[in-house]
Amino acid sequence: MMSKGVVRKFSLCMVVLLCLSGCWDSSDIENIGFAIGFGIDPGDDEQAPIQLTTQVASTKKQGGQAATAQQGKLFQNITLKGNSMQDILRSLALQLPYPVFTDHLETIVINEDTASDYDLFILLDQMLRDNVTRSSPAVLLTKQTAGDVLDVNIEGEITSRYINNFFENESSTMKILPQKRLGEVTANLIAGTSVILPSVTKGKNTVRLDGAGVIRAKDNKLAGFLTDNEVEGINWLSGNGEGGLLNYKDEKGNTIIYEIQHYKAKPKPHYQNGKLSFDVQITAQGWITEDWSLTSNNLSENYIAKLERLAGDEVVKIMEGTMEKLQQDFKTDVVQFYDSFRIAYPRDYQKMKKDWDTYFANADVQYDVEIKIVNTGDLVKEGRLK
Amino acid sequence: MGRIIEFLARTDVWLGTIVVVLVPVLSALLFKKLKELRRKTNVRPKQHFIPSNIVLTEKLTSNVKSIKAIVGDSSDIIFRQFKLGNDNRSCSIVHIDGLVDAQQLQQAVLHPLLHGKQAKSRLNLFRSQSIKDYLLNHTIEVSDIKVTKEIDKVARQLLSGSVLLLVDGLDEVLILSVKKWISRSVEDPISEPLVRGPRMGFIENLRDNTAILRRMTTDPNLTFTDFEVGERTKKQLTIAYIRDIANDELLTEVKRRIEDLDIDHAAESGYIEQLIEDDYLSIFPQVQSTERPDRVMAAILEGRVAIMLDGTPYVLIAPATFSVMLQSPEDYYERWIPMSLIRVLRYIAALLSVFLPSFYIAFVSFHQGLIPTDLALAIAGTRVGVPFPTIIEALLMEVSIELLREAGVRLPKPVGQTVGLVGALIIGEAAVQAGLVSPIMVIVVSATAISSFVSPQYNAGIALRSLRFLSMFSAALLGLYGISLFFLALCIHAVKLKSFGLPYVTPGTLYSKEDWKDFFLRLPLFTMRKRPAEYYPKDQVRRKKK
Repeated sequence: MMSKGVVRKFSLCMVVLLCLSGCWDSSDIENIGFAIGFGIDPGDDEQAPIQLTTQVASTKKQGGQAATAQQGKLFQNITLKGNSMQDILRSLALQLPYPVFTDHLETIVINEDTASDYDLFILLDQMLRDNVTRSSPAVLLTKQTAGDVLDVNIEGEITSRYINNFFENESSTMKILPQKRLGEVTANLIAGTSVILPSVTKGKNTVRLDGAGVIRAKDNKLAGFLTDNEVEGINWLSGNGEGGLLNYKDEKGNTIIYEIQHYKAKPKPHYQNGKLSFDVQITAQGWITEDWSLTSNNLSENYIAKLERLAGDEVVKIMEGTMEKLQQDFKTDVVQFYDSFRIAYPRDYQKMKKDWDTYFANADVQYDVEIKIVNTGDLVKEGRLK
Repeated sequence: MGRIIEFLARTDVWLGTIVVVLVPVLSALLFKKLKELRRKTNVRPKQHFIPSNIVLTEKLTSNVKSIKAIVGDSSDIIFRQFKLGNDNRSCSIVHIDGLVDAQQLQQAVLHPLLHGKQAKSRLNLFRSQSIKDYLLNHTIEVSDIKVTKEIDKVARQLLSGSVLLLVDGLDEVLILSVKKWISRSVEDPISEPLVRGPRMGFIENLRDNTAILRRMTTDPNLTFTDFEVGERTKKQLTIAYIRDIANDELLTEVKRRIEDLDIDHAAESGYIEQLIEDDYLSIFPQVQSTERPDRVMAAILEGRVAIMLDGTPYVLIAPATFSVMLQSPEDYYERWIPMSLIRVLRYIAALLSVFLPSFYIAFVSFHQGLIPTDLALAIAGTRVGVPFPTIIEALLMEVSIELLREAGVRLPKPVGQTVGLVGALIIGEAAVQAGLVSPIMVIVVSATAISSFVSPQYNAGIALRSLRFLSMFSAALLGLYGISLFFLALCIHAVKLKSFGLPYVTPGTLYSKEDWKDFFLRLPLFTMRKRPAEYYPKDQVRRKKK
């Protein structure tokens, strides 16, 4: 049995220890710089091939009375050059009075030249190894300087968050690709498949999503850009979109707007005697939300059947255009046809995996589109109107 | 093999081992010691508050003298000497002024004694045996009469308000019960108000309290067993139970603990609670206390035992579990769907009142990445310019809230309201304006304060209030990891804790679907066909119909 004095001394030591130790990781929230966005550009010289723009949310301005005034920028961009990402990030300590935390990172914007010069894996390596950074930030490409894109000052917004929030509009238009998160990009790169990344451009005082860039699986470098309309085709082919509009014309040239409620794309692979072909089955359901033909017989079955047929033709046209570019220009499968093929022909896929993009480029694609109009809107006109 | 030896030779391994072994062993020793503190007994010399060497004799004057010697010459004790009826025998009544119904005493005792006639009686009044018979059977118009020779009983009865009648030639004392003293009227219990339910609370008088319970049932099995507690003050303590429901083992355990407890004065049932509880080191109350008769009735019908002490409206109920602390009688009075939701709400409130400030601390000073970006920026914005770390800020606010609360209890009612208002203004507005605390902290603290008021049982509420501070410190020390450790420690303690042999987290530990019907939810009454199995009632069936 220990004497009373020893027990007392020991417990005192424990208490003192408790007060002294701990709190290693404690740092109050106002003494932290939250990095919200990264912009990666090429540096000009060989010593510093990378230029990183870090967008840090400036909390100092939001506090107290300044919050109501909403003046000035809500962020601070710091552009540094160097030969490694981590090195640049740590160099921030020379400029900022508080440590930078990347756990709220929202967007990574990569310049076109950097993306075509470097393996994407190299560019994202630091963020993947760092266990503070999440796998959730969106990865985007830009034809302009990434730093400039992040520099656009939109009133009351942090540009990176603003860009990231575009993807919430996914169900409004087919011209937005689904958000590509850091984790998904990595998964694709590891699986050895090509990736398509949304692209962003800056206007005078705005930023907008504008097409997409294709990263080929061969060397993980940028193959080229797609336009808005081709992105629409990508969404139709991959079936990953959330819905949106289909804008087409009837035979008299009147504009018809078909709103897609939901749709499905089902590529059916056929592989015989070394010949690869796909039957792409598209089924869609939606409403007519605008019709410039002013026809009186909105509810007649014939008319609706005609609109459905015309819509189907338009979809085929869009897809063919996109597919041509993918197969001829880029020779990359970014519409995930490999997935259906892997399921249908698992053994063959294992062999073909390495040069899948070549097989894809040479494949025959047939389209079978079935568009359904379930609702023509509330407007029912009597025959008097022209 | 060589690598193993190499591993064993390392000093850090040994150091780690020593710490891992020493910390639990030493804390076990420490707690053992603390537990022994309670069992330590002090030898008290046998006290005789009433000299037992005094014996009652047949001489009235000597008896009166002995009583005077025992009770001293207090001014409130009245000695009245008179002659019995037409007889010449001396009598004396002794009582305490203020504890006796003077009118009844005059009408039912003094009047018949002074005017007693013996004309028709053939008794010889001068023989002591017959005088006793005469008084008991023919004269005194009081129902509760005891006759005794024991001097200490006589003295105790006198001091508790009975009237003593001493007659010359009789070596016994007649103890007449004509008690009456001022007592409060039955009121709505202030500490446990309900929207729906009887507006009746216990009062300070034990007899009235047992009567209130008796009024609620005519079940002959409702039993009151009396004890005397307090070596010096000898207060009356009654345990109430239903004879054919309450488990025998529980009953004997309760009785044993009450007989074992040793104290010179029990001022309130809280004394009893602390002296009979299982673990004095635990922060949780292990005996339920209430001033609602309907709650007591429901409890004893479940097979629990109520302990009532004279002089306090608070009745103890044993055993108690954690879930009982979050139940309100109203749960059963209103319909089951809303009351189930409200009960779930109470569990959430209990959780919040312990953990909300600590979660805030952990998130803000350790895990900023877990807060949504907008909120993180907003919090960071509001905290700009606050001079203290989060833990100090939280402590500042929590302590001032507790101060206000304590002041609110102590202050006279009209002043109390003003203080509440001023306090709310100071904390809510001025502290934020002065930049001492951030507005979000104010929200957190007030939400915590509100949820701690939800607890239907005051003593459970104050336990959670104190736990909150421990939890805040562990959050400030180790963040979410600290909170998890704290929660684990709390769970381990709660699982180990027992109240009168019943695990404290019952029915959380009992895998009985029957008792879960009345745990987080309160299922419809028809589903509860049996009494809760956790109390092992002798009569299990509450409803026979399917």
